[in-house]
Amino acid sequence: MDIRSAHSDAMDLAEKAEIARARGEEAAYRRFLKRALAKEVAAANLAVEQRAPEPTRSILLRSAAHLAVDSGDYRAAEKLVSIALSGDPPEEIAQELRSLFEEIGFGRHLHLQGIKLHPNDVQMVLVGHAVAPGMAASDEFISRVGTFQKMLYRTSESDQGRPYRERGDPKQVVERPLQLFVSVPRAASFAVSLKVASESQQGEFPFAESVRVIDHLVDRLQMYDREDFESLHNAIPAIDYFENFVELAAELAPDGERVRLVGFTTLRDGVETRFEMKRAVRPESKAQKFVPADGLGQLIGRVFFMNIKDEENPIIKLETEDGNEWRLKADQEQLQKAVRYAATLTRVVATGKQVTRTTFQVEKFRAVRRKSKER
Amino acid sequence: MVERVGKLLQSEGRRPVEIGRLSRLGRRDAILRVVARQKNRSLDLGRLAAGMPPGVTPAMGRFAAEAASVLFEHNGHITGVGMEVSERRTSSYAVTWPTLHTDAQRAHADLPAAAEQGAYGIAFLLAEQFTEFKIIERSRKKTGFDYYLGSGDVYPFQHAARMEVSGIVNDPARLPSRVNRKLIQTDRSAGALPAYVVVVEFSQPKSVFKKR
Repeated sequence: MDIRSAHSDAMDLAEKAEIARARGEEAAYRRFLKRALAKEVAAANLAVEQRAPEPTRSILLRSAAHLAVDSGDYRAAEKLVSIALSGDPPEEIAQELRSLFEEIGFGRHLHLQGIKLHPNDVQMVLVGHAVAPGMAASDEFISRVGTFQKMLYRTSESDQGRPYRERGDPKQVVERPLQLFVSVPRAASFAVSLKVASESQQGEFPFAESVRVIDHLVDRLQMYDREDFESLHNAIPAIDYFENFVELAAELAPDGERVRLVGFTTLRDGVETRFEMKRAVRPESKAQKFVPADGLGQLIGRVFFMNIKDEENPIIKLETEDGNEWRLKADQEQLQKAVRYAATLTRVVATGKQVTRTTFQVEKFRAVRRKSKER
Repeated sequence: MVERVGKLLQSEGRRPVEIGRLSRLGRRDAILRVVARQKNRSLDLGRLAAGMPPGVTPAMGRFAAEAASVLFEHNGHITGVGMEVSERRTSSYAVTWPTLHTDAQRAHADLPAAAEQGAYGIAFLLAEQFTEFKIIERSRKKTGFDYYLGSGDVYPFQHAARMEVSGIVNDPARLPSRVNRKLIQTDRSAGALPAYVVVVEFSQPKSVFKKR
């Protein structure tokens, strides 16, 4: 068997695994993945033995390591990444291998490994540039613990149907059963246990307020992470609470650089549940996703700004009568009309389709006729 | 051009008088298709299912072709739709696909994921048109596969270029920013491997194919 054929077999199997997963066939996915891993490890070993040139060597090892992570074999993944880094990979591949190494540590530490959690405990794990084993930049850690606590209170208040609190602390009846206690950090990526209880050291019954709130909160964070805003809205129908949740979840989520991964482990009905927030915070993620309307719409206002220096991508802005600014997209013919209307400050009706929150694709412009003076 | 559009519509069994009734997008599509037909430029998604270009497996090819077809049909297009392709200069291609399986819509119900898969299908066919590379190479990464344009060397990934591909379901305005974002992403790793960025928008079909 040569490197190319072993690698090709491995990728064929990995593809079959992906297709099985897309079809929801979990058992077939696991089966194909295991066979793909064995083949890719064989290809990578051959590359190492034959002193294959870079980038072939490191890409094959990295590929095998990813398959090992997907299969949950973190130890094998760790070995493969270490072998790859011990060679001379191109810088871009080396960077990816270092990130993968961090992710392997993260994956391992999401498993509890002897740490005992109660149903009212949550393990939080952080990975990123601001995190070293057992240490984390205090602002990144403290702000996330603070955000988590706020989310506990808000979840409880929303579930109890309490009116949205604009400011101030929650009522004692909300606050008392949801006090947050933090364990000593573990030398993982950076892992701590957060206990939610009415008193320190207290375990809680599965039906306790703290356990219920944690379950709801983790469910909703998972909806947020997979951008299932419809289910999230069903879970939090009140718009104030919904918007507040989205804002706080964005604060909790990884920022992409300093904290790249945020993970939680909880215990539900005696079963360990792991959840990884991968989505970096983006301003647009703070609001519900924009869904384009099906039909045509109209904007009435004045074209107040034009920049046609870049012919491919001209900037035309219209201010509507309610003071909102829109960027308009249009074809050449409509663009020429827009230039005329801008020059004469004519009020216009733009007919077309809203394509993003602030962009309107114009099909047609027309001037608004002045009404004849009333007599 | 109007005459040719008329003939095209006639060849599809539609009366030429319908030209005037076509929407702006309909006219755009008809013109792109006429130009593509004149220049004999087409992208046949059916080739992917046959394992072309080399390195694409029939299973993966079928999946990607199906995803792209679902996206085009979701946006109201029929086989033969005109697609604008920006490489060094802009040209138009007629995109064709076989009849979709009845389960296809269900299999690709997650449209953003289907857009990514479908974009790969289009990207492979465009790479065949615009580059000298002989084979599509794959390696595993966290969210699926990393694709490279390879030279068929005895060692995979030697003299290869990385592909960064992205698909947009229905938002033409996002195309330029998505291209820029992908260029910035690949630029982080500048100095090592060459890379191509391909972004496909499916509602007003347009693709951008750029070398870093």
